[in-house]
Amino acid sequence: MTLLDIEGLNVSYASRAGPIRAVISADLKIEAGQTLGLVGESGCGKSTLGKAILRILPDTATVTGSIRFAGLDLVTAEEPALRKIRGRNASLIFQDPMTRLDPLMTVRHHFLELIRAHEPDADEDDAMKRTRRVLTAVRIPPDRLDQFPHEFSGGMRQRIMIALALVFNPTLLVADEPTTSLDVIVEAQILQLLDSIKNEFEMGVLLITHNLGLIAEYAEEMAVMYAGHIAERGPVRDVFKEPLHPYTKGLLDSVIDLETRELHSIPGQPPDLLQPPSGCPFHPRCPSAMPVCTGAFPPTTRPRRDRTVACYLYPG
Amino acid sequence: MPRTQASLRAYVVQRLLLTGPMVLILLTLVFYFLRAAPGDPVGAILGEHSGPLADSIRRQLGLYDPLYVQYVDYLRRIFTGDMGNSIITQHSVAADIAQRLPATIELTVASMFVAVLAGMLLGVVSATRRDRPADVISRLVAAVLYNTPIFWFGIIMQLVFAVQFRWFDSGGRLSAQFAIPPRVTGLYTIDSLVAGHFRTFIDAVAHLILPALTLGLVLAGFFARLVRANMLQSLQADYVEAARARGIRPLDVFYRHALKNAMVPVSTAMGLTFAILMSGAILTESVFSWEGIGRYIFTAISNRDYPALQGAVVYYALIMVFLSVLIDIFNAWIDPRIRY
Repeated sequence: MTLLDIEGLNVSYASRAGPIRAVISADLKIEAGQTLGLVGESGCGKSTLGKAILRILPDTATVTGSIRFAGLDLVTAEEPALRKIRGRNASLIFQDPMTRLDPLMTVRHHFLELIRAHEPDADEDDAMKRTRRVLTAVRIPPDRLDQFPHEFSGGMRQRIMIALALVFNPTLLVADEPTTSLDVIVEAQILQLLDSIKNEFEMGVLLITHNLGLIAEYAEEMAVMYAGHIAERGPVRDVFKEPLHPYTKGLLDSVIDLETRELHSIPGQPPDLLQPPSGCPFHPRCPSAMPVCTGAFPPTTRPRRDRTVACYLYPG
Repeated sequence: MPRTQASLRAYVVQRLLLTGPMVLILLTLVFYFLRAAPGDPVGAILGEHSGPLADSIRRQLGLYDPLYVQYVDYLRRIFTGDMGNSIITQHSVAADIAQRLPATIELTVASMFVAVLAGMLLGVVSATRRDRPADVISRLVAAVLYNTPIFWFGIIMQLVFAVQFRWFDSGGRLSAQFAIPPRVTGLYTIDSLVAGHFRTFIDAVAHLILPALTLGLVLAGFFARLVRANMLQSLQADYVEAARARGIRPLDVFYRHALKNAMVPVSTAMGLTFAILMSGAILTESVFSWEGIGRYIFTAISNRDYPALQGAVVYYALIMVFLSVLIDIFNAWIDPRIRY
């Protein structure tokens, strides 16, 4: 069953220098209970895409296309309807847990506020019962409810954020670089926690990261994003075995493991989104660039079963 | 809650214990700075070339004693509540200050009320409508208010509302036809209500309005800028975005998260402003003939009235210490990170 269906999604930010197109006609699908890994370099639009799903982008952002979720099109839905979805049907956890909790509020109040926002009549005892249940699920001792965020470590704060995300058993969790700012041990703990919770709560997860290792480990499907475009999509196993898009190949070649003798990287820098290169934005860095690549953005084709790619190397 | 309260209590105790040394350091500084300033009170009264008479007065006042003797004597007197007598008027300095203090408190509270109300309003309107017309207008108003010379503004207020429209008196605390209400707090507005003299109350409030508006609006300009800057910062904070992502209502996000966090630095500035005003707003008090601490200090400085000046500065130091303790405790109460 398709949980989240994004079609032709565009997000652009107004700026003094002109519009910045952060997401360009993106198509993505997440099935219930499935993890989709979204990978790309910094500034490629992956965080914008994550926030666009919950419609919490700043006022300067314009969103078009469609995001079908929970029987609604989130692009056209009104603010009150969106508010009911946020934190209840779909939750978002962020990269930097250190600054995501209100420093002046105890953990208890964060939960109470969330539960009351969605169920104004909830009584405190019942709310606290639910809070203790999710806190136990993320292994935060519930007797620390009355402490303030600064009394917790980064990893614990991220687990509190996850607990907040889980209170209403959402069907979708958007995890935007959930472990990037944490150390490796904590990273593993958090990801294993997310994985077990995903199975327990049967959530679909959009895992946004720049770390291909995480995708290999925790995602079933993946999408590669470059300069606002979805360059390639497919099952993780297939994409790793046979990357189609030259950018995906470059990314996979840059991964370091024990056999690495020589470091590989993709030459050049990700493009300026204000003035992206014509045609396929990857062409200035692409080893297989052809004259046609500078013309128009390549159509998305389906060269393999369950795989799509936007590259002239794979004519439909 | 118990943990939270225990840490707050520990902080308060620690903060109070620190005030002892703080007061002593302040009193010492006051003493030495006044002695280090050129000129002396006897010279100020008698002129520079007054010979034996000046000498005998200096001896009588203890000005020839070694500094440490004067210092110990000074501390002993302060701790017994004796600030000496004014050299000029011979009145007890402590009594003089006690008599003028209510006027200053009344003006301070009233103008802070205006300043906080107007400042918060302008600042919040600005921050929530960033770069839109309402923001531009309120920033302009704030900048004009903030940069207005207070004595000029006071005189203009008098010319418009006292001279032209005759709505208010141009100065003083009470009209001549009303008796000063029996002293309870020394604040005419409160004392008149306690005594049930309602017309006296109206008259006292009417006298308070112009100076409070003058001082309050200028300060409001300052507060508005401060509130705006801090609100803009907290509105963009990560926890505000996270709260929105959890479906918290925008008004709740605004008041419970953004405004409360912005208030931490703002309340400190407001508290310190309050403390500074308690030393008397010299310009405002002068323009509106308001017999408060500010005018007292001004006169004492012009006359080199050591005991009076010293007494006023000691009083001010104590007020400052007391209020900054209150500010610190208030901040620790809203911001748990400060308690450690």
